Amino acid sequence: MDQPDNRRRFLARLSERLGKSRRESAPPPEGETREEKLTEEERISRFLHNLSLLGGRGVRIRGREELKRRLMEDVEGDKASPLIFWKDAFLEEITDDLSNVERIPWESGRDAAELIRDAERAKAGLVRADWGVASTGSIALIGGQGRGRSVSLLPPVLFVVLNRENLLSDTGNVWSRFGETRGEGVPAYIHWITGPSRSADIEGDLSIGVHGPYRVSVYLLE
Amino acid sequence: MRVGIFATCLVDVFFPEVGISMVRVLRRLGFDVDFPEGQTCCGQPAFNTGYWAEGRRVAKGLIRAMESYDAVVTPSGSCAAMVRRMYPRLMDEEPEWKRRAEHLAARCFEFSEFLVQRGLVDLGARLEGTAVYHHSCHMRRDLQVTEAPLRLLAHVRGLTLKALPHPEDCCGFGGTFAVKMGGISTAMADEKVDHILSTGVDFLLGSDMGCLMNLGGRLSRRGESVEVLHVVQLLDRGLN
Amino acid sequence: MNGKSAFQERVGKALEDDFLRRSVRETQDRLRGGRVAAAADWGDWEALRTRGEAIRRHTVEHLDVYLDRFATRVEEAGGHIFFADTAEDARRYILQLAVAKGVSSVVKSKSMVSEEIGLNHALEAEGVEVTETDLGEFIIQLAGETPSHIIAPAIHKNRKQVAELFSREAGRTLSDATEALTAYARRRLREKFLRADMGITGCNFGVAESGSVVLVSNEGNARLTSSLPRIHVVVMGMERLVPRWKDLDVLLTLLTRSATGQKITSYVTAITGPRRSGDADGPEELHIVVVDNGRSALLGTKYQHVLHCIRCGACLNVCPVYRHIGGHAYGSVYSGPIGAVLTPLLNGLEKYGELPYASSLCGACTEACPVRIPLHELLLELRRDQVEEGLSPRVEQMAFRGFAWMAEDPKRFFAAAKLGQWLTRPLADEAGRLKKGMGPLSPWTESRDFPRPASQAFRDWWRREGRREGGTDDGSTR
Ligand code: SF4
Repeated sequence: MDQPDNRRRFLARLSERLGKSRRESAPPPEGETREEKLTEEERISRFLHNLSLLGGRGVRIRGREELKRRLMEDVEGDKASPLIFWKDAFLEEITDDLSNVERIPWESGRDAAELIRDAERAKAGLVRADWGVASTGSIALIGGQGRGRSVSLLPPVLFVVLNRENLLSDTGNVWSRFGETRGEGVPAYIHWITGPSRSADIEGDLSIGVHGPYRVSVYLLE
Repeated sequence: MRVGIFATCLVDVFFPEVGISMVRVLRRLGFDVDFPEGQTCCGQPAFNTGYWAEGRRVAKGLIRAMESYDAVVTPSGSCAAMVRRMYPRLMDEEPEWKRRAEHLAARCFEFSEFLVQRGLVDLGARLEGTAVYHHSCHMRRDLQVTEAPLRLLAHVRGLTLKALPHPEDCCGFGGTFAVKMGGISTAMADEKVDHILSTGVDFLLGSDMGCLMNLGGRLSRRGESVEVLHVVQLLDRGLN
Repeated sequence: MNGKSAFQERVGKALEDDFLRRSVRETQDRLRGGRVAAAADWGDWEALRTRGEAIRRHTVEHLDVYLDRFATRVEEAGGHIFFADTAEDARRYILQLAVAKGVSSVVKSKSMVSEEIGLNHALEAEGVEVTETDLGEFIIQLAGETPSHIIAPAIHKNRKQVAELFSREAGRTLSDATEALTAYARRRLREKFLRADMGITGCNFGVAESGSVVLVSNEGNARLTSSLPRIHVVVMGMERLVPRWKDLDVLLTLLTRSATGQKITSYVTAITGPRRSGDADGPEELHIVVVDNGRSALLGTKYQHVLHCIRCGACLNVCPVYRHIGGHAYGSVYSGPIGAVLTPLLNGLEKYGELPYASSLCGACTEACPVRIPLHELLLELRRDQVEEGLSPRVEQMAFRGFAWMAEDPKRFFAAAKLGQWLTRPLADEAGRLKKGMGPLSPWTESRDFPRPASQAFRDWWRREGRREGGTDDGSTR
């Protein structure tokens, strides 16, 4: 298949149909963007509220020690072993004391198929969110070394650590960070997760965990 | 102010009592009304079915008949919307007619809209009973008049207006739709009739005889006795 | 014109299907209620619609420019892009790819455009196993049917039917409880995900400035489809672009709030290129297939704004016609108001000429559309084209010519009314209502009484007393 020619012909047809108006490559229309001026406290309470509306669990955590304690409780409560997590010094540290738990770091060097099998076998995944968004209760994860997609996707339970300073007001605050970038400037993935996986495809009846995790806990670290 | 009555074909042929009520109410309010006999129909049956050329011929007849009045008032939200929104478009290729269409469009009003715009909301009518009001789609969405009839009705002493479930849903009339797609149209009418009956009211009120003929026809076929009235009929009755 | 058309047959069947009608009603009420609440929650919804409309208009007006940019960015990020003029071209590209890469099993997440191009059949005919992974799509795939709603594809199926389908697939009897059915689907589909060589998704939006593909889902199957298999194929309608991330934010907000009333779906995934070096998961190859299939013929015509559609389904959720007949009656991939407009445009009025008439022109669709596509006015235009191209029934053409001839002249018009009055006398009951009509009126009188022309028309009254009464007024005119 001759790709460049294929593209040229296709686009030429569009140009012709659109007539001459098109090449006045006017910039896209601008509109008011809503700048919500929220205090940090407002952001936090809105985030927790929106997350809970969608069946996610959000908890405020003060300091590393509390995080460790809380994680230990939840891992126990959710029977979350094996636990697979992103390879990240911070996550390694906070999971360090989890005795009786099989801990699997996502090591990029390992065989890919094996890693995915591990993620499938794991009862829980643990990741660090890049951002949280108050207006929707979402967290956003972006791709990178050691940050496997499967960790937040395959296990039935997902634990997320979100630093308070990364909690933004609105989805727009996150999207606007990815301006015009060429090639690899934008991460391979940006995943937004808002509460557990859900479906209403059987008689409109809500069911949770149809493909992704059925439980999502976000630790908001202050 | 010389007000031309545009009765609409449905009122002229099938529901003269609505036209008579409108003349009486307008006269009572002091308007100098006239009914030019050159009028027949706004042309919607043809236009809405895709027959623009035929619709245009009929539209020209109405423009000729009505264009000399200061205001044209009609007891139909749908026909008013046709004149105001569609006539100019229908004449796109004939500049002279387009100008005349725009002239008429600017002075053609649905009955309740005409009164309320002039601050005439309390006509002093009195009528005991409960009612629901059905918003016709063309009046609500194309003409964008929703409050005016409700304001007139709110001032009728003794009348209790009840809320209709899903008030935004179409009754299934749709002009030729009612016969081209009779089954679907009936299903729509039935749901609306169920909603009306669920309120237990005495009167079904509206501003378009097309919808009221559809709902009234279904109500009577189902053996129901809700009385179907145009807003102007209710006002007229309440004034006597 | 003897007998019913295929469309009328389907409509008749749908109207008799009480389960279908009840579940469509319930789904509509849930979704449209959600939309109204979500719009109110947003605040200045109209301003947002205006912005969304402007972005869509601009993008489509400059579609060649943005597609060009998009393609360049996709390639810079290591992806492949193919431009398919026709459904056939798109199918062929994907088939060749599957064969070349030794693909034996494919997982798909919901995509209307892949339905449009008939992709599943083509793959299956080559011996490739295709599994739909959206729960609703999985259900109808097992049933051998097509989606009946853009975002709720299986609303026409009840839980009993679902349990039967799943039990047959499982080889044992499953309970019809939602949790049990969902749990089965999760297990079964997870196996498929882990085995699949290729994942095929649609594309909710493509971001031109970075060559990214954005997918929304609540179940998370789009994430699995785009993460696990070694090849990811995106099939996108050529108009699915937004210029920038900023614009994406506006349209995503409009999309999710209009579709289900959610502020955001459970998952939103933006993918730029295949996996990067050092990534252990994610597809090794990303192929984006841009589909024209009749769309470019709409550019520069009065129908261009149909391409602004973001496939939110809001117009279906408010449509009273869809409410009573569901999606399958439309006989095409796209149903509801957008289907009634788009299908004849893509596939011809000759075959789909009835669809523009499957509307009472109530305008609920236009009012709901987040990007303000004037759907009911486009239906009027399609009816007009149909008539002007001479495709409407001969009898109808004659009837409207006759109507115009009469309505042009009040004398003729009222002579006809009088004639009607006289002719219908024997048919009326004592209250003057017609219970049975003749000819074209019979679909009305089958279910509704029809009034007879009044014995005294309004104009008769006016001549006799109306005009005179005016003269005796007290003279204080406004
Ligand atoms: S036409 Fe408008 S309302 Fe209908 S699916 Fe498209 S965007 Fe949504």
